[in-house]
Amino acid sequence: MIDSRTAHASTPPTRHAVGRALFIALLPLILFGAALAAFLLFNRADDARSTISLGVDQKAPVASLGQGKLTPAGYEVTVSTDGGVAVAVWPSVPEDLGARPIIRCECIALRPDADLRLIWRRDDRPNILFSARIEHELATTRPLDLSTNPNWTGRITGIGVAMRGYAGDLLQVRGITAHRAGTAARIASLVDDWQSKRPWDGQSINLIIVGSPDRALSPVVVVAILAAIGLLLLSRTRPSTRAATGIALCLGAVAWIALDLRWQLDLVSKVSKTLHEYGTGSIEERWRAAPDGDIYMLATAVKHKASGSGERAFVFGDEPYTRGRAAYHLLPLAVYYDAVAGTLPDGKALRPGDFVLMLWTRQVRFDTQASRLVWENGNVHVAPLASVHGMTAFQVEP
Amino acid sequence: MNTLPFVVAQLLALATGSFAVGWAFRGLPARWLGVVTYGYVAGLVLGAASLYLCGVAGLGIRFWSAAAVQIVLAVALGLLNRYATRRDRDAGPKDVRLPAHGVALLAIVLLLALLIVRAISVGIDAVTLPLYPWDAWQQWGTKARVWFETHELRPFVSPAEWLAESARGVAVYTDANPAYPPLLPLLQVWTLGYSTAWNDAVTGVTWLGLFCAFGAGVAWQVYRVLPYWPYALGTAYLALSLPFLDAHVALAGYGDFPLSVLYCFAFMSAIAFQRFDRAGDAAMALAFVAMLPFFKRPGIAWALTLLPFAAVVLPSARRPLVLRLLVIAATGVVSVLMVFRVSHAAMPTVVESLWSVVLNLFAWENWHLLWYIALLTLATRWRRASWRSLEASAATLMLGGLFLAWAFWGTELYSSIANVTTLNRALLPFACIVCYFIALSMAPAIERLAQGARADETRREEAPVQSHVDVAP
Repeated sequence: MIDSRTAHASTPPTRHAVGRALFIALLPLILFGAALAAFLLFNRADDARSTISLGVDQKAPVASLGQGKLTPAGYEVTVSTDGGVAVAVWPSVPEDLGARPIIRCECIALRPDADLRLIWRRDDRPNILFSARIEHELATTRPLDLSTNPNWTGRITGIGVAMRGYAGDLLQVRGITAHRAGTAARIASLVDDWQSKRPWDGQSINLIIVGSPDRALSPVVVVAILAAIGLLLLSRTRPSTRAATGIALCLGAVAWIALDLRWQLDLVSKVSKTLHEYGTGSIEERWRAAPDGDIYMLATAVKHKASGSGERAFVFGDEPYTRGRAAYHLLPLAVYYDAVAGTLPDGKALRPGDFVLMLWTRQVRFDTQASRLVWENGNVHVAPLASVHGMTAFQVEP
Repeated sequence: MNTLPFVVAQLLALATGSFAVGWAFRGLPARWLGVVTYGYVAGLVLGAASLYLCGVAGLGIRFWSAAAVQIVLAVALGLLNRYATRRDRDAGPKDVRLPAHGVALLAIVLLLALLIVRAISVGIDAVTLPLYPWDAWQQWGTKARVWFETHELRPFVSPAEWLAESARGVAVYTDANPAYPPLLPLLQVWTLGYSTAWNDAVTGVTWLGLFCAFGAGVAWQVYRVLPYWPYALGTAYLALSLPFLDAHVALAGYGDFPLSVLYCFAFMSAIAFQRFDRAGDAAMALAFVAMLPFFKRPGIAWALTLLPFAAVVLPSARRPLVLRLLVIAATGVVSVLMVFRVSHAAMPTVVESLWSVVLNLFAWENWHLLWYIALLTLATRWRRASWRSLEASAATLMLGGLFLAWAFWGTELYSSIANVTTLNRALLPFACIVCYFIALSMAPAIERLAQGARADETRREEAPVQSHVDVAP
């Protein structure tokens, strides 16, 4: 016979103990989450006061070198044919810009290996242009920390972005933000790094980075450490084996899901970016909207000209990316290109009727007077077919 | 856009594949799930293989002729399967399903919601983006496009051969890796069904289909071991939420994910064969192992890592010894190769490559907490299972680890570890089987937990009634 008081009293303390142990195990993660939420909530107002943002409008930036124009996507500067540099500058900046050495440049260089730099002038040495290299991948730039740069001092009188590249290269500028240095600013910067949205890029297939790649602390490591502390705390509560298993499982699941929700938010932003950039139209529209849309247009012009009787196409270009994309868009024509080394064929290999796509290259030049393509071991007579952003399609003539 | 050609291709793969593998799973719990997941993957491979056969036979790379060949192949394989697995009819284990109530039911709903959201997220990218990542349009999509548009299996050669052959008027092509196996490009061609225009965004449909099949396949195999849906779905979530895996589906076009799916299916079937002793599982393991080399060259090495399961032909008393010798021999060979390679490298590069491995496994977002959990599982499991009782699955994991170590530090890939171009991609098939292995290792503890919870529930249900009876007088 079971005593009713004992029967009722025996269950709640056990459940209470398990609940308490679960709470203790989850405590590090809970505290961290709460601290992060509070920081995000209260730091935003302060952040708005201390950050300087230089946006894009009718007045600034202006192109001091190259050709610039304001577009819905930002300010676009193109490297002109008579020089290898494009520069967009804000000639007038807030007085206390110099006190904010953490600089983020929201700009995209269309060519992946373009040399991108932040440039600025100081009022004490107005004749000197200072610069710092901006690391960038396909569509994102890394923030610059100029707090230890001896040239970022005093009053900054002008700031801008410069790109060195080939004629026709495009730089898209969306703005510059400058933050203060210091512990709170660094934490804010770290949190920003963690939650910054990152579109798909060329490296995404090899390495997943959520947020900025330059964070001082990895969220995965932080969550793993917090979960490990939780497990240690759990062992101090001496639960039964079954309860410990269940709680450890809960702890692992919470830690995993916390990281996964962050990844899910990043995925949602990636999807949104994809839909915005490519749309849901026909595949031709999406090819045109892609980063290599110009190359697609050029290849399409060649394919329209081809009669379908076994013409061949040759791709000349210095960059593996543009070379490969051009070759892909030219298919199913029989395309010659050296995907890896980019070596050019002997001129004798080309025959009348062949097509040549000349992309950004320093190895080949077009002699407009003689209408000939000239490279180290080749020299052929050609007729230009089409040209987009410094890339040209030709057809070999007798 | 007319989507019917693509839908027909997917449905045909599902139907023919399901017929081909169906008999391998007779009498099993939730059999339908095993049939459609394994069947879909097998059907896709059959479709691609049929296109190849048609191309070689001069029938052309055309959907309908390949579909006819595929149906014939599926019927033949199905009948062969039926004959080979005839003794499995009543050999299935009893369905001793653990009921899921309360929190467990909530977990099922939550997990399903997370999985559906993830499938939608990666799926939109997979079918919207034209071929995006590097190798997809450098070496896989090139072949698919040429074969799809010319309807012929045109040869791919090196640039130098292209110049020589082309001068003679032979229609040849070149790309970044002309000698790569043809199955993956043909899988992309199959995805386009009977459509007539090249659409590289649509080829992502197959990657999305494989994503769903992979998750469902893992869930089903876990369910066979422990018939508890929250756990089965939890394992599927563990595998499908790996960011690196998701990226390979969203940015469809690489061979690493399809290879991983096939490898994991082969691994799970091999373990199931060892556990349940059913010919159907052996047939599936052999069939999926056989497909591996046709996807990517590393598929040969991954297939060899499943060699320990062949020890099943030996008397059970000798198996641990043979497995130990196999692992020791492999460790010796790999060590020699690694020492040779590393001794010719500058030390900073060794340190850099090691640091890169640590960062990619434990600090970047590639794998969430998978490798932490794997280490924890290894540490707790090692206490129970000793070296003397080495199992085939553990030996396979060791060989997989050795293969990766050899690839990273014993081959020319060595220099590319630090710049992360191959590291995570090489790890993907291994990560998939590690997910399943973790689930297997933890299954007994989960079973005790689920049964304990069930017993508590029963006690709670019974307790008030009993006390009411006791107190009433």
